[in-house]
Amino acid sequence: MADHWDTEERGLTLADANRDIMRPIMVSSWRYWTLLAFVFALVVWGCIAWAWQIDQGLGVAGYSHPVMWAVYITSFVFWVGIAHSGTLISAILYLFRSGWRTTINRASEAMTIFAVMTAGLFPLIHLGRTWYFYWLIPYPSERFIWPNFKSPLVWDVFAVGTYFTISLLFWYTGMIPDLAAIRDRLRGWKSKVYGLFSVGWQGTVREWSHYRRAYLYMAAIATPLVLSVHSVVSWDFAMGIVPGWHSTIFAPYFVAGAIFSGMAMVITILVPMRWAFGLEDYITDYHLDNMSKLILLTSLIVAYSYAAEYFITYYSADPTEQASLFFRAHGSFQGPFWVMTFCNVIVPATLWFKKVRRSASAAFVVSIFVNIGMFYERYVIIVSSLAHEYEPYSWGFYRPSWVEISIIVGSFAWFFFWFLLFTKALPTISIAEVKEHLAHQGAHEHG
Amino acid sequence: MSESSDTQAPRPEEEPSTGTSRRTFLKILGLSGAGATAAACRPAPPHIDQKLIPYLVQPEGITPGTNTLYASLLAEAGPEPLGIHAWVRDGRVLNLEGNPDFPLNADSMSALGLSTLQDLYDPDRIPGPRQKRGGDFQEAAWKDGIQALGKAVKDGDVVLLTGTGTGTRDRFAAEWAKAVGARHVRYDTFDYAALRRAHEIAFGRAEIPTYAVDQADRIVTFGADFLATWLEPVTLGRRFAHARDIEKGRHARFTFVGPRLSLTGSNADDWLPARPGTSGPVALAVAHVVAQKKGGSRGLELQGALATYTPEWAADRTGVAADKIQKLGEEIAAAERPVALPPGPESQGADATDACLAVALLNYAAGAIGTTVQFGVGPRRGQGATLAEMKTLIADMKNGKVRTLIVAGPNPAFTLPASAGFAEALGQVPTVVSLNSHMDETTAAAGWILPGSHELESWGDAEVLPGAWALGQPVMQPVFDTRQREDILMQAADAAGIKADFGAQDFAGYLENAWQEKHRASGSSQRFDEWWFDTKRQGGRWEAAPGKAASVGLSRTVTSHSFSGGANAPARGKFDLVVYPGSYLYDGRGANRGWMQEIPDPITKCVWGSWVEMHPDTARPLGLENGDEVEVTSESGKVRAPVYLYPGIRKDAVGIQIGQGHTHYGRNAAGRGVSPLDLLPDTVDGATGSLAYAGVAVQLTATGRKAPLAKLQGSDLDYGREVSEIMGVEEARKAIGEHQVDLTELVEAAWDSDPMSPYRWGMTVDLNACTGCGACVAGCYAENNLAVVGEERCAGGREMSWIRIERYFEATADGGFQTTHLAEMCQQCGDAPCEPVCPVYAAYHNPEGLNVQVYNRCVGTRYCSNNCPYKQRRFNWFSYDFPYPLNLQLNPDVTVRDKGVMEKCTFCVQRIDRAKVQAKEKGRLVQDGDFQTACQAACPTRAITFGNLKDPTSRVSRIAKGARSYHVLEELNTRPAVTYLRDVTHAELAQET
Amino acid sequence: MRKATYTTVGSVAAVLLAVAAAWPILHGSSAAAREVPGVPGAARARRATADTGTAGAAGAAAARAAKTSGTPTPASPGWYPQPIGAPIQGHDSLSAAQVAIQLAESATQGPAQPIPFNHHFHTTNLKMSCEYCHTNSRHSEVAIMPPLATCIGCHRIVGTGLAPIDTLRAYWQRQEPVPWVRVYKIAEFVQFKHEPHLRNDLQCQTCHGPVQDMDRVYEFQSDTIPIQSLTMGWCLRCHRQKPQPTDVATEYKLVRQAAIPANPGGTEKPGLYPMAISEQYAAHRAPLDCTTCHY
Repeated sequence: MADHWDTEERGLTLADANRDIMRPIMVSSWRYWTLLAFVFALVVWGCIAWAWQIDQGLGVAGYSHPVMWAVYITSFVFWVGIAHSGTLISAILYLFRSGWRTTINRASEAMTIFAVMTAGLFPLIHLGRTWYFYWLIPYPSERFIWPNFKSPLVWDVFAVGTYFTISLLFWYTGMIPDLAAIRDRLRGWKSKVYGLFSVGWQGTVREWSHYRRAYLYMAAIATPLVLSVHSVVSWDFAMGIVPGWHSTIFAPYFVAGAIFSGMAMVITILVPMRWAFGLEDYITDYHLDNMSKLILLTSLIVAYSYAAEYFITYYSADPTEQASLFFRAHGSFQGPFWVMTFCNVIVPATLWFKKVRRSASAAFVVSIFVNIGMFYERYVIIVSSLAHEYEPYSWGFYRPSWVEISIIVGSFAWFFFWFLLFTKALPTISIAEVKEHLAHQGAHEHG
Repeated sequence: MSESSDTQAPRPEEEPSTGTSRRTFLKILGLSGAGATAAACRPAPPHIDQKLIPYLVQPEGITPGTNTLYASLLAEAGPEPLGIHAWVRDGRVLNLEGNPDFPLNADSMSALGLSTLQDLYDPDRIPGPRQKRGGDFQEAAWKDGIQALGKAVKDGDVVLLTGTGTGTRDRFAAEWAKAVGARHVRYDTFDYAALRRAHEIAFGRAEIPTYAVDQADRIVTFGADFLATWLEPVTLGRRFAHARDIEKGRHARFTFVGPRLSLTGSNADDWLPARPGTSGPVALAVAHVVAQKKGGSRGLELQGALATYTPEWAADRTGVAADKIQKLGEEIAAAERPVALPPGPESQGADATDACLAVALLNYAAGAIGTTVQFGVGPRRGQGATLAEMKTLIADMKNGKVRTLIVAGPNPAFTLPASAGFAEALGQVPTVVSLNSHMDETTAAAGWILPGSHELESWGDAEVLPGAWALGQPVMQPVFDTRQREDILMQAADAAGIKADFGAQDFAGYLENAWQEKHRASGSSQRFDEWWFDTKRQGGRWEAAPGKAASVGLSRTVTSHSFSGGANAPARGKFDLVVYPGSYLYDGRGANRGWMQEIPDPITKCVWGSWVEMHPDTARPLGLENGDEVEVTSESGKVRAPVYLYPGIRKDAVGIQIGQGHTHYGRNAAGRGVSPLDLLPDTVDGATGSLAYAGVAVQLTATGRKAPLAKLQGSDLDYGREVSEIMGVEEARKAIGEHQVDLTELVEAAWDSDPMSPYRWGMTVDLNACTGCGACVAGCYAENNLAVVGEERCAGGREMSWIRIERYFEATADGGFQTTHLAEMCQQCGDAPCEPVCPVYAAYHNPEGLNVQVYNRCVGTRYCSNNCPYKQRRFNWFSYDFPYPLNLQLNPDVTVRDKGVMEKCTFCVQRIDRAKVQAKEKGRLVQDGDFQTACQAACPTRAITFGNLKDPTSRVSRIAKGARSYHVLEELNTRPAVTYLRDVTHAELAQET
Repeated sequence: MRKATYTTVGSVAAVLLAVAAAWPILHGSSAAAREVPGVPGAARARRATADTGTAGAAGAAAARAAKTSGTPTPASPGWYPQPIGAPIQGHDSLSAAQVAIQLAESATQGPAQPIPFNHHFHTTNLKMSCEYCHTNSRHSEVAIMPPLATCIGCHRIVGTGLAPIDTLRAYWQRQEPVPWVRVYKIAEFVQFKHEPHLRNDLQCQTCHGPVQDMDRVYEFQSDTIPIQSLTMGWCLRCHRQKPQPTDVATEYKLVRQAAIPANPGGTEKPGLYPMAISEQYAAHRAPLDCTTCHY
């Protein structure tokens, strides 16, 4: 098998590229619509649960003193984490000129956007008085009250906000040439719509050179965000004095974890997508291989972090800290803990084998495990630490209620809802870059 | 604040819906979503509180919007009469505080006493006269009711059943009964007949002495739970704390004898776990030893009588090792001013009198009589019918000798053991008329209910000490359509056409006449109306109380008295049953008060239910864990309740609390938990006929089910985390005076509070003085509009209490344990972890070093709670409602919080604010004594001190400097404003590993 | 050319959106959604219609609103509300003409009361002080409605034959308090106290407006403070003008040298002494600490 994306042997032409990639946009099947409807129904159910929670009060969730944060914040962190691989692939790999990103960057960037959109919901959902969420945003008023800039939660608002804006612009900019291409293939109002969004792209040399610069700069701006965002999110915990949270390792630990889960989610999404739209020629085992390697790497970092956490605690000789981590592995939350360890450390180890890495189904299965594992990781960190703090009087337990579960399910549905719309409305692979690639290879032939 | 002698509570100045409006308003905020943005900073919508209702004539001495204090009396609150100051605003009682002039409880309160507020405003009170038609109660008119009662009275064979009392109310009842030819029966759940009888036998004085625990240097109780439910817990609590004031160089060693460590036992240094109903023999043996060792004339007097009762004799009857008894005896003999307290109900068996007598002899032998046990000055208590006497009444009821039963106060259908059969007998009485204010078990069986007013709405008085009279005046108009009980009786007599002359139109007049006599007797130079005015102002007259104890001698007969050997040991596989009155529910009267249900039991930390206490070592082999349901069976009945593992109970005994298991009595009480009274046979103490609570054997069978057991304390140990600290008495003695703690850290509040501010509010809590009674918690509930959330939510850790009393076990060298009670509220840290993490400055540091929570700014991220190492912040998971008329008790100075908002202890900032305004008027800073926080005001043992740390002369800063002071979780460097003083014990503590 | 048009259209749309979103924010609360900022008159017009139901009243009020409102431009410099320019209206700050207008309007504004009590007559004509009836205001947080007895005190004799007075007497005969309709209502989470404000020599008019020129009392909206009255910003307008408690000199003399002056006036620790009350009042302490009002 090729250790690069060999378009020759697949005999791809520019025409194929246009046709294959735009097919979903041009034709559509009843399967797609049923799936969309189903997902939408789940979203609605989630909304109902949320409405109920707002009306009744947060009590309908399973929270119990002292566990004041639980699955809502868990999924917030989870989704922000998911959001990472997108920018990583599109920005960092772009700067590193790693060609294999070409066919997967569009989808993973889309994933990023939707993941952030999902993540952004949870800080609102978990608020006691959601309707005052805007008090976290600095705005001038005759009351002369500002948010508390010392609070990590306010940092979150900025970090996530920035990240969303940049990712959105980056994604959009990259899409302009393709939008133009679609515009040219369509007739009637659709053409007008795509036309509007392709802001009059003509594909002139001048436009291309401007476009390249812009894309490069954006990549440069976006890169640091990959590190900053999840560092800030991790500080929500690291800045607290809760035993099990208050640790300097959190920033790198969370960033690694984020890329880990992000990559997994990319696979989880791409594998079915390429099967559904028959894009095997574009998203090849070679791509999977590369992504799997990245997962393997980050999995090792995460595993190391777990170990380090325990070592540092042992070394600190702080009884409270030690009690907390012992409780994590042996207390009432040991189930989630061992699931986490199994999914994030043991399972990814199979990726050492090339066979596993290059088999779509295998990689898919692994990625699912990693997703579960990473959700549990955040759950364990947040819930088990809070349940077992300084004061023995107020040690507690937590179990999610139906409301929380509904809202979590709804949030996943919300994410896939947007992604489905994306696959229908926009090119899931960067046509321009594919063509570039083809042209490039062609040049090699005859040159 | 001006005290008023107004005999009638003033008319409300506003609609009494203020409380609700706060609520509803916030609800509007809550529900109208983002639209409510505006409301966040704009006045309430016009439809709320539209009317302003002024006085017709503004009474003198009353300023709307400020509290007016009324001195009054709580005689039916619990075990003891409490002198109170009622805080009345706009015609509604908001809070109760102890009456500083009152000779007993003085300025402190008990949880039970404070909770009478909820009794007064209980939504389940009977709102007006009711007549039973076709099985259920229908509304009726007062005049019909009075007519009916009058007719019944005319027909004769009337029994008037009242509580016991020492005042004019009791006298009136007796007089009324005489006038209408009725039989007057007084009944109280717990009588002190055995104690009286014992003292009659021993000293020829059938009375309750004063136990001057404060004078003692060695204290023993043979079961009396005198810090919670026995005789006069608040007063005895104060004395107890005084006797153990280590800073003053005193610390009387305290031994508890009994099967189960009650609240009192948990404060003891040593525990002699005698089997239930055998504390008598122990006392005898101890007396024996004392008589030997101490000798002296008194010793010699008794040596003969006690010769046979050796420690060995006691050992195999009581399960207490002989050497321990020997040692205790020697210590008492060696002590200068020892005191021994008798058994309480829980350890009173069929030989209760013998047991009390044994204790009396011990006191005599130890030379306590006349010094620490004083006759002639003891608390006055009315003597009610014992079970034996009640049985004759029951018999009469059964065989038709009673045609009409008038119940005015007690609830025997619940408080008598089921086996006595009062409930059935009730059914056989043609006419039962209840004057009770609640739908209790007895009232439910009545044909007519003519609801009497709550004692805070009624006139009354009591002779609390010989010659010391307390006066209870109504502090507000009746909440419901009720009347003073005595007035109802008077009107009934008139209706019956009986020409009885009570010398007045109504009871108020009758009572005034009674006080006219006292006025004459006092020989005061004042005119009566002035004298009467002052009496009402100060809540009574106690000048006449004799200061000095009467001298008593041992009566001859005693020496020939033969004592019983105490209750027999249970058969194999059976358990001794320990039945004890609840600290908060007492005899069940607390069961419908949300506060009393929701404040965790001081020992088990469980709420809203019943449980069966078992020793872990007994339970484990049976495979029983906390919350496993068991069925407890005796000859007389069976109950089902969850198991609770408690190392403070004998391995061969199980304990169940009295108070739950109501079938009626209101929404909080009905159908909740079980009553151990169903298990008791109607055996009585031979000498007096009062009920034998101890000496019942029961069988245990696991049902294999789990039963809800809402325990609020996560772990019983603090793992040496500097949470609760305890030190040996010697160590403490050494430390005190040697070194002082530097306060500068404390005084300079955090980086963002104002260095120029003259205030840094601080508090000290003395764990040595704190008995864990929970009065502070009740005080906080009353002051700060805390919501009652119910059992399920409590089980989920959602209780709203701002103070909790953490109960930790510290291991001792002999393998036993010491209990510490740690009253913990928000620590008001100087460097508070909760502040920096709040994204909207709802939690912030004010210039006076307080951690403030601005409710209306809070968006509910709950980050502050996560970051609070003390876990002292409570979150409003729902909007909790205060059903009318409970909302009348809401404190207008404190915002009622709505769902989605974090709250916590504020150091009663509303009181601070008031004090500052008033001090400024005087042109000075706030000083000690200007005000107290609610918890401080309630505390019987004065364990809590509050004040300004920046003033080096203030009490709080002087105490905080003390050698015993420490801060909870000090290593976190949060610089709390609450300083704790280590608990002190005589027991030898195990080395912490 | 095509590209240019697209870009311009796009950007313009963006800017419009932004402005629309920012509008309420700039004015502190989405009160703006229901009320044109700085034109309280308009709001009152609406209230007036609600109460009296006469279009005429609404018209009048609206007209006045248009006439008197000094509407600040939404983007006033620095976005902050400007400090109070003109002095707050007090007793004699109204010209005769204005008084006329006041009276004319007050007749239709504010809720109708069970008894049409006329403040203008009692205060301006009879020269009665506010505290003659609202006795509480200096001693309590509430400045109560006067007890009926106070009214009867005069009106047992005065005003016989006048319909309103007879109504009043009827109440008294029935021994039934007058159910006055509330005009001012502060949010429940605000712990407002009258007494400190009066002790600091504030005039009733500062907050309640020219009551002496009102036939019927209505919720006053100062035209010099373009913020809904009784809102936090409205309170802060004054509290920010006064010296702060952190400025210890306003409440306490700080004597740095150890020497203790003749009359410390209390048992406080050396170094910090309270000022004479008069001095304190002169200082007009106006705390900004949240706990002043919220607990």
